[in-house]
Amino acid sequence: MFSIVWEMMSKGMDSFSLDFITGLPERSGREGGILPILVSTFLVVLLALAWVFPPALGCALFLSDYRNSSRPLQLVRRVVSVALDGLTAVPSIVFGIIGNAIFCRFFGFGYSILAGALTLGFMIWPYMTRAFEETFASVPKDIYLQSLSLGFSSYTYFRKIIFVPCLPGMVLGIVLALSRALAETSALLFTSGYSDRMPESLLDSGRVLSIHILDLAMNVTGGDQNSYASGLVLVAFLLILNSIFSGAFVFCKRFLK
Amino acid sequence: MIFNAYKIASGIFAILAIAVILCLLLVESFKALSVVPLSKFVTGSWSPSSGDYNLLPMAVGGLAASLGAIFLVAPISIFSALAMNGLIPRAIRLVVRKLFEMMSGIPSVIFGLWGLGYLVPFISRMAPPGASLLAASLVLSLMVLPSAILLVAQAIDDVPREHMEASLALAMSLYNRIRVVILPFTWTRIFSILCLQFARTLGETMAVVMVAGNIPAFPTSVFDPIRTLTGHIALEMPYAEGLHRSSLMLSGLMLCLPSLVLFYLARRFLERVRSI
Amino acid sequence: MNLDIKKEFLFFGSSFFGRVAKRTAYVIPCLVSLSLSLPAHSKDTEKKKLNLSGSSTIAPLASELAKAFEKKFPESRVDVQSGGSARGLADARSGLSDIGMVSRDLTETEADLQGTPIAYDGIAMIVHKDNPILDLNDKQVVAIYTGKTTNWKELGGSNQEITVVNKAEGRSTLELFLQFFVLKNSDIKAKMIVGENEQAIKFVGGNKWAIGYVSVGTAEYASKVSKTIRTVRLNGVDANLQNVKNKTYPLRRTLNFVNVKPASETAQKFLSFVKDPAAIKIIEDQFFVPL
Repeated sequence: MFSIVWEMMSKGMDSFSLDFITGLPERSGREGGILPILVSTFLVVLLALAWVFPPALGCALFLSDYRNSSRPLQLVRRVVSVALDGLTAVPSIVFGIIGNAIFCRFFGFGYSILAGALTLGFMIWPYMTRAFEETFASVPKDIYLQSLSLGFSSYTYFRKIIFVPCLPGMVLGIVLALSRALAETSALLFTSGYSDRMPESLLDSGRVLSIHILDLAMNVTGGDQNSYASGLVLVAFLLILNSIFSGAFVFCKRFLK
Repeated sequence: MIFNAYKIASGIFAILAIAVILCLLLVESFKALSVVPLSKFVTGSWSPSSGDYNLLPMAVGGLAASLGAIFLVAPISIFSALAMNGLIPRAIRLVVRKLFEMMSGIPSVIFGLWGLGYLVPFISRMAPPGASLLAASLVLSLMVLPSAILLVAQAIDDVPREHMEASLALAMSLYNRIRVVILPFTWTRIFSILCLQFARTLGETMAVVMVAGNIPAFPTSVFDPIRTLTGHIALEMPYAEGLHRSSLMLSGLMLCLPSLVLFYLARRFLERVRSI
Repeated sequence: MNLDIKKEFLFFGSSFFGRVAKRTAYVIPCLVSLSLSLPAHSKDTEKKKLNLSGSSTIAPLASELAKAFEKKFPESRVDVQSGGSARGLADARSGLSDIGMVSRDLTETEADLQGTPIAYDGIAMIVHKDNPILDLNDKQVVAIYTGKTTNWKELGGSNQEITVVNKAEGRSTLELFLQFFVLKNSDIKAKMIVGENEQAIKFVGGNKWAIGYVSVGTAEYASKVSKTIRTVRLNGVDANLQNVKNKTYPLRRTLNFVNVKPASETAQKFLSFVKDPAAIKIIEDQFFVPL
């Protein structure tokens, strides 16, 4: 078990020795930095998170709402749950092909950051909703029942009472969706494309970091070094993100005492 | 009022999304389904130019790779999680958990690269070609292992403290403690976690294409190259047209359904646990 | 115990930190929408846009050419997608792309498209650097790939099984290989199928007894710089770019840009840009042979 970890680390050390200063605008695939790609990745992921946040939150609230337990609504809830399972189940290339067909061709966006963000949103939606659901479920039952008995509306309950305490959990859900989004390759290859230049509008094509890693390692002659470096950037970013948030949570808990 | 409408609307949106996706898949695969007799999909070879659309080797290959991965992941994750809970000193525990959290965020491309650069040559020295079912299973298991361990460890942690303390007070052996205290509380959850990871491995494309060999044939040993359904779609879709493309869409549809069932099962198991 | 959790829960909501969190929760969406509205131009009608798609071999080269082109003509914008030569042809025909990238010569059935050669390339047979075999001729390659020769010792090498590496369908490299050696893909008995050039190089570099084929420039780079593989002399001719240039290497190919007959103005500008000295330099830099 630990030998596996060790092997991963040794490969990681390998990339360390091949590290490059990244961040300069790119010249060719093998040289320069990855700034345009970082920008594209940032735009695609942020846009995806931004647009899918309201529906994901709405679904989570809908699914964890015990107020209205009328038969038809319960049925709808079950269907929605299965629908979310379905969204998780669709393999990423299929998402890519369908995203291509719908957003690139039918809507006419072409290979663009917009198409990529729209497709990516659907892919991360179930992860976000499930995480939110868990947070809402962890609210102590008494608070919920008390608010019911006091006659609070669902909205007041959410805004005034549980929103802030649930915030850490919700943020965790967003971070989870973010890590899932950053790891995505195949779907975005077909929707936001391959172009490695600085995107100037949301309708421009721009490759994301994971595609860059893939292309440098698999297609560009001599691109290995930068491929590992880009991989390092991605992992480092995730590491920093996770550390910030777990640090913040620890701080919260400490503060509460 | 608006709030309620917003909630229900989001739910309906989700239903619409998956419905549209499934419909599109059906429509696109319809051509293949209507023209090619069903037997052609499970017999013969894969050769679109001559009208052969046997998807079975790919389906079997993908299934074999994922099953192999889960067979590896199940015992390792359970033991590791138990170790994290009991055997490992607390200081190292935090480090190990951070390590696993980091590893669970690594994109699949990197696992594929590692596999191609280190694992495949290693296997090839034992039995060529190296890019094989074994390589695919190993890479897949490495990808899901960190999150599996974390989730199982959490499941074990969630065993009520009183029971754990009672077992310690009674000086139960580790084996007994696992059998009597931990397992009954956690087995449904562990099963659902494994279902989840299995479904994840079914959907994995890039890493598998790099290490599995991609020969569309039935594997006769773990060292034989295989092609998974996802890899198949990834390799052929960019240039497929007409009937060829339609049959690829069909295989895409075939991929969705078992995953959906798995996720549904996993969730139902989890819900059962929560209602206890 | 329940009461404590509840108290903490509610206390957090009204505490200072909770209020700060509430305010930040409002600010973040505003920032997000602000940053997103900045690059949200509508259609790029101001810039003359050009779309390329096709061969993954040409894609890195095309990206670099695109950047140089944009530098020279700042009012244009060129986007490059990959997807394989067959995709390039399909996209050029359907109008999805203005120019398709095809890494082989056009056939008669493709005469409706206009092809502009941009560079020369070749296909080199590669083996692991420790493999003692230096030469192969046509017959031997065919025998290896059709499974008639299965052991290196039959060719004078070590007593080891040959691991045959083939390329995925739809790739020009495969089509050229089949055309040159007069084979059908179903004749080939391979142990591994790769998708991209570098995948073949990495695999052969890690497997002592494998044989594969990749672009000559890529192979030359890998054998000289990363030193993991070695190219094999085909019919006595060294597989390097020099021999592709002076036309002595047999497995040659032309990299083409294809487009539907009346090309748009920007497309024509781009096609003539390929002959620019700056473009020539880029082509060489990407390990191809300029015209």
